[in-house]
Amino acid sequence: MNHHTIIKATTTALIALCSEPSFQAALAQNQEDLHHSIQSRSNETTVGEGNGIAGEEDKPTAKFSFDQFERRGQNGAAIEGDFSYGGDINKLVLEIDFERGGGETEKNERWLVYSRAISKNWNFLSGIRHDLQRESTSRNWLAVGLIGETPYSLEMDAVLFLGKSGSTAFRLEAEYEAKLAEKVTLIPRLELNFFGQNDEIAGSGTGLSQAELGLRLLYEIHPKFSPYVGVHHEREVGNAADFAREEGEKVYTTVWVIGIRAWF
Amino acid sequence: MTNPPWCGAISRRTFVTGLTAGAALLGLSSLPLAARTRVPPPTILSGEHFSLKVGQRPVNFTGQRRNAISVNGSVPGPVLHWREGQTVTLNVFSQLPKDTSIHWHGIRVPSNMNGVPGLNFPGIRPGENFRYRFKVKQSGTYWYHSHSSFQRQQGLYGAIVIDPIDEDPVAYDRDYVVLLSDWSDDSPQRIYSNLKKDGHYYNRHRRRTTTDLWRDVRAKGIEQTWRERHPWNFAGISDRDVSDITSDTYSYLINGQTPEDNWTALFAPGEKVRLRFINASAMTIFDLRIPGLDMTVVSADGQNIQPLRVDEFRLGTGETYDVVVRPKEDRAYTLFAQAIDRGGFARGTLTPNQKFTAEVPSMDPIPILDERDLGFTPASGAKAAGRQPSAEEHSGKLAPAGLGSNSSIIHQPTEKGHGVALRALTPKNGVYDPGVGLRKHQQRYNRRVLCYADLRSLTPSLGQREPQRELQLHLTGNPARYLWSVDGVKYRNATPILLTYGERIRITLVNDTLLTQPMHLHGLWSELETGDGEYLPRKHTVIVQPGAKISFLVNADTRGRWALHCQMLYRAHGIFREVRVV
Repeated sequence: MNHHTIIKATTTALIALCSEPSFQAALAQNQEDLHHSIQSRSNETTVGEGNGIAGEEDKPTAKFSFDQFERRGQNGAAIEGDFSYGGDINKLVLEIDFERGGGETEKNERWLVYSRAISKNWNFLSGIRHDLQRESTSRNWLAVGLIGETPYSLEMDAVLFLGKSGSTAFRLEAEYEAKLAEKVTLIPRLELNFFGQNDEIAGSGTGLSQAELGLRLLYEIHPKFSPYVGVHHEREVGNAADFAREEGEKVYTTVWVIGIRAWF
Repeated sequence: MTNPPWCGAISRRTFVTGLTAGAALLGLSSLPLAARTRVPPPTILSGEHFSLKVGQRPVNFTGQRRNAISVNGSVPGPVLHWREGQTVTLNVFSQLPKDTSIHWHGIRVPSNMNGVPGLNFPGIRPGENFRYRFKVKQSGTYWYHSHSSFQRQQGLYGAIVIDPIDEDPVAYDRDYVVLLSDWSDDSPQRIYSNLKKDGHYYNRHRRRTTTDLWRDVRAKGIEQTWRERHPWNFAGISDRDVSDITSDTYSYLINGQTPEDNWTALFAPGEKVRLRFINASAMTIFDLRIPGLDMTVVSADGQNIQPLRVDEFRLGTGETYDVVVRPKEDRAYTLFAQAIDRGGFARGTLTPNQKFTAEVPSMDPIPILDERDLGFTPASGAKAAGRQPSAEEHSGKLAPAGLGSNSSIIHQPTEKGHGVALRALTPKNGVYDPGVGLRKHQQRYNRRVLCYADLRSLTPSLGQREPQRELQLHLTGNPARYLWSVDGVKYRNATPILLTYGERIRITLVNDTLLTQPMHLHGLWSELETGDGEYLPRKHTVIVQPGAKISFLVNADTRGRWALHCQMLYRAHGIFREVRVV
């Protein structure tokens, strides 16, 4: 099977999905449905015009946020941040995910995704991920996933990636905010990276390939600005661990972290 | 100064808005010097013709200089003193750079004088003038405010006092307006933007901590704690989110004075003092008391009620209550208005001597929502105090006027998706509940708290007719995304509710959120169904308790386009419906 065809088809489908007119149509249909459902209360078809107040809420929201902006150990660093722009339902998100450890860049991703609110706690996202670091089976990925909050307030990202030559990857991130005091929060965080294939150059293996575990203690100086300290542990698993051993590299590292979480 | 010489000379009808007015009467001009410049207190305008100039002025409530929106240069704007039966003309001239408007909250006016841009008139453009003119057909305490954008947050509000054409059933020697409001140094656009980016921006600090969890586990054991916490944790909601904007950004004002400024009203011991409480805030529900004084509530939303003795009452955003107190001692008393989330308070002083102050009480504990606020009524706890309709529960017939709704709770198909976080499954009638944070105050503090069920109109209900039909509306939202709606549909996407001229309809509001929602109906009275159909209190703003329902009867007696909306400013764009009487 020609994987390029599949990717091409998926891309086309995604573009079609995201393109403005079709979404507008879907939205219009959605609103149409809403009108019908309340039609029983009224014979009029005119919807809310001005009321002096309505309109303020229609302005799009632009938000920058950095979940991680940190120093990791002696010679590492990480940045996980995004910029989102859009309305209540549809948003465009630019994301940066950068990790450096042991003197080399492990991850340097740029995301451009479309995010859509699908339920009270969940957003569906789809778009592309471009990797700037060289060692990888694919440098461009289609990303499809869900981001939201599970019962018991576990924040979760689950994203499936489709890359060149049919390569696949899956990333699951979960974190929990445990409020210790009014301004002190402890955040345990887990990230699991799965791959559909071995990639010796990139050092990733089939199945669960890499796991990260973090614990960060935040102190809120301002609602939008919290410095933190913590620890970060990551390890290669399964085939990836074997590749690492063959290369004479360490299978796991544990480092201290210091950084800030901020948004504006 | 125990017996001021002007005490007997002052007319019962004369009222003053503050210390400065009192001091002026006494010929005293010196005020305590404050580091910040106080905003001058509102003046009192009376007569039949009023000229109101809406503009901007610098204010300093917190130590930071900011611009507020003023009327005739003051914040709050002047007190408008009318007389029932008069025809008043109000020329409103705007010096603002943006469109503005004035809505007469609770005043029964023709639709085109009601002041909602888009519904009643185009609004008042910069540099332009709009002439309001209508006959005053009611008496009591009301207020006015901008109905444009977020201008109410910025200071465009003021009191209206209307003298009755007949003998006032309320006897009093002094008369004061006590207008409560909330002020933020941040612009309302900034506040709204913060909420859109993080719906819990202003209430996160009040949430439970692991220390609370540990305390519960030690006190109740793991199993019991788990059982109690489960509904909240499962849904990812906090039982302390009683207010979405808090003292994190707000300062609370009485007649434009901060607690430190201490708005002061004078009395002579033994005098009856009428206090006209108005909640003109953008987003704050206040709980009021005057430690040491018995309060007699004599009117609700401007309409006289059978006098009711209370120690404490909740003043929802947009509501007004008139209270008569009779301080006998030669000492000061504190007017204490704590915000519902107990993050801050407004404070004033009633005193026979301006040098006296009284102790400011500490705030009550942070209110904690319970299962009833989620709209889950455990089967065993379904019985509420007072009269509840039950006999006709399933007969399909509307319950008699006064008893409220007996219809089944129906969640519309639109009430789902990203904009709706919760649905109350078995909402109880809110008239029997003083509200979260005020429950059990009788047992705990020996304070008698006002409950809607206690309100009985002084005069008989407007119509003795039974309601012909019932309209059930659900107040819905998703606080995390900061989205608000009625039946899951925000105003922008909703069609008007049509009422037939002359009909009597029951409107039942179901609150599918955890926030207390004060709902305001323009232009028509809301006769609150508090149990006694003969003496239903007439209101313009009705608190809908979290996870509860409430019903009121409406006589569709004035044609036109009206609004039924949440009085909370930042939720109002979504929780808003046009009600058209045709």
